[in-house]
Formats: sequence, C-alpha cells, structure tokens
Amino acid sequence: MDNGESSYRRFLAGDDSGMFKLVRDFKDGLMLYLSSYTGDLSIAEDCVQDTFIKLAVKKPRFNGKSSFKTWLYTIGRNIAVDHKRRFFKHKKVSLDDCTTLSDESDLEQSYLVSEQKIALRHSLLRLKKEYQQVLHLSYFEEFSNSETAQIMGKTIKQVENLLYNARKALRAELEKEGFSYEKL
Amino acid sequence: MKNYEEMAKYVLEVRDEHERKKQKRKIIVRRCAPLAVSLCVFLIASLGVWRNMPAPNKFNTNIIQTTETVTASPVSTEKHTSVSTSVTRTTTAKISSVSRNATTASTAKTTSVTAAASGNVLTATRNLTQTHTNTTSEKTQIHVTHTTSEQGLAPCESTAKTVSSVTVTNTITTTVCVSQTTTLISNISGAVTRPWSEFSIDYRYNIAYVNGLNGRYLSSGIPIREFELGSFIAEAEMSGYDSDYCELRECTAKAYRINDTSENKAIAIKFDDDDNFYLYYFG
Repeated sequence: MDNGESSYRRFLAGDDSGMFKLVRDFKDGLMLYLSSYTGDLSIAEDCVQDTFIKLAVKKPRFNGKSSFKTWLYTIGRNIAVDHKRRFFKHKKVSLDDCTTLSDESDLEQSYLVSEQKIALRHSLLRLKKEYQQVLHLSYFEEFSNSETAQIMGKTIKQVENLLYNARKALRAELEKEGFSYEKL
Repeated sequence: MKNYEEMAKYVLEVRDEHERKKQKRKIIVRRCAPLAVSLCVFLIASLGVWRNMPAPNKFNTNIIQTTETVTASPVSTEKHTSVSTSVTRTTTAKISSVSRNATTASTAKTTSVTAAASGNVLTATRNLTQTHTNTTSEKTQIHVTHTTSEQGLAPCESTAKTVSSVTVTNTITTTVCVSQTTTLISNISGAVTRPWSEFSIDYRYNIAYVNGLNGRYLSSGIPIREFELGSFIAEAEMSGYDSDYCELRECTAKAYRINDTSENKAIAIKFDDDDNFYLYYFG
C-alpha cells in the first residue's frame, strides 16, 4: 500500500475508483480513532464520511510534508473536533446507541483482528479521551510520535508525556482485569 | 453502519451534487455579470460626474437678490436705428455680458441693503418675493438683471438675442434663463439706459489681479467691515467693462487679507476713490 497518496491522485485526475480505494483502506481505522473524540461510533462514522466528502468536494492539495495517512487523520480529527464543538450542547442519547455496541464489535473484529488487541481496546475505552487517542494512534495505527503529534495538534514532547501517562493508566487498568500486554 | 462501498458512493453523490450546484451558480453569474458590470460602471460614472460638478459659490449663497423695477420709456426710432446699424458694437456687448454675470448680482445686493438701511425693510422684502417667484437660481437672476441693463443699447428683440447667446455659453441654466428673459422683455414697453458711471465702484471694476498672487478675483458685491480686515497684501490691478463706451477700464486699488480667510479664497479691495472695502472672491 502506498499510504493512499496515489489513490487520491487518481481520484483528483477523475478516476472515482481512487475514492473507493481510499474509503476501503482508511474508513475503519479512522472511525475507531475518531470515536475517541466523539464518544459515539455512529457520530464517528459521520465524521469519517465528512472527511471523505471534504476530500471529494474541496479537493485539498496534499503537499507531501507528512504521510497521506497522517494528513487524512489530521483532517478527520479537525472535523471531529468541529463536530464535537457544534453538537456539544445538543448531546442526546438515541435508540441507535443500543446497536452501537454490536456495530463496534463488528468493526473491532474486522479491523483489530487479534483478540489481544480487542481486549486492549476495551480497557482503553475506560481511560481519558486524550489517553485513548494517543494510544490508539501509537498502538493500533502505529504512527510515530511526530506523526501522532501532528495529528493531535500537539508538540512531540507533549505527546511523549501523554503516552507515558496513558501507558501507565492502561497498565493499571489491564492489571485490574488480569491482562498483561508486552508492548506496554 | 455503512460498508465502504456505500460510503464511497454517498461521497461521490455529494460531490456530483455539489458540482451541479457549482455549474448552476456559474451560469447565473455569467448571465448576471454584464448587467452587474454595466450597473457598476454607471454608478462609478455618476459618482464621477457628481464629484466633478462645480461647487456652488460660497460667497453669494446668502445674497438677497433684487431686480430693479423697470420704468421704461419707449425706444426712440433714432436709437433703434443706430444700434441696428452698428453691428460691431452689439457683438462687443455680447462678450461683455458673459464676463460680468457675477457683477450684476452684486449690484442687486447693494440695492437691497440700501433699502433696509432706510427703514423700508418690509417693503423691500415684499418686493423681493414678488420679483423672484419665477427665478430658480442665482445664475438665472444674473442673466435677467443683465438683460435689463442692456435694454438701452438695443431694441427688445435685439437684446433677447444677446441674452440667448450668453445662455448657450452657460449651459447650466439654459432653459430657465431664456424663459425668464422672454418674460421680462414682454413686460417692458421700451428700453432704459443706466450709465456705467452710476454703478458702484466694485461693480464697475469687477475683476482684480493682485500682484504676487496667481489668478483673478471677482467682485461679490459684499462690503467688508474694517475689523474683519487683515494685513495689506499688495497693489491690485482692477478692470471692468464700460458698457457706455464699450471700453475696458482699468485702475489700481489696494488688496487686503480677510481675517480667518485664506487669500486663495477671498480678499478685500480698497479703491482710492472710495472709503469702503469690498469682498472679492477667487474666480
């Protein structure tokens, strides 16, 4: 995989299959990441959709200063933050929440694959939002610290501190449940 | 939850919808652009015309204008003949009438001030109202008065022609001026002569060139009181057209500054033979 850049170029050149490929490659990972911002998978799905709509309609120029994935996740994060700001006061619990759990488990099954990672993510959901985000980007998406910093709009130092604290909190959380994860 | 195909299709639909709207907007803009541009050009042109219009004369805006009641006697046949035959003289009078518009107005002002001083304020005011119901602007008044003063030189028909030629030059008040002139002439049963020497001195010498200052100054007909005077500027060359002899007369006078007024706008003129100071404005 060339990290999506060539698909995006093809799409800009008029080939719609480029957009199909982009959605297929990045939809799930982006949705799981954005769910830590929105706290709701269906809202995260809307944000992912808005991210791709932004790419399709406004056709922003990818300048290659970072990887395409980092750039896409940054756009997604901005959209999620905007969304959160806009709908913060109108937060409601809908009946759809009942199906969220099953949706989320399907997504986890298809995207995270390994049982250990799924268990890790369940523990992760009990942490602070920022810890969830930084751990998700580092462990599930395997971004470097600088890429994580770019996506989250923080400095590398801040991300390192955040990762340290998040790891500590996650370790405590896992110990409570009797799990251990060698990468922590 | 949508699968990736559904999401991609939805994204492309949104993109297509957006591009359709964009196309429609482009078409609308292309259709409206010429209209909008022509409207803008028209607005800019009107603004330019409005800005370049000459400003109204500052000094004469408050002048109360009167016309003299003409008690004219019938024109003698002799006079009629003499003017009709001397074509050159009539032509010169035409030219002078153009340059003396402002001066005639100042004479009118002097008349009204005198009336007020003699205690006939009410009468003077009434005369004003009656006389000026038909006049619309200062310039119109100027032409009318001038027509009256020219009556002595030529018969009524000849004078009317003279004034018409003046109004063609001053295109601003063309229509009003001509009609007013006609009315006045129709009321006159003959013609009168007012000798040039009987006018006030600032009327006679209505143009001033001050040594050391650029441009010319025109008489406003307003006297200046002494406490309003500033310092002495220089000698002034005064000139005026003698309609009796059809000659240009010249004399010298002294030019003074006016307090709180730049000499580029107005000055005061003191004639050697006269005790008063007169306001001349830059023209």
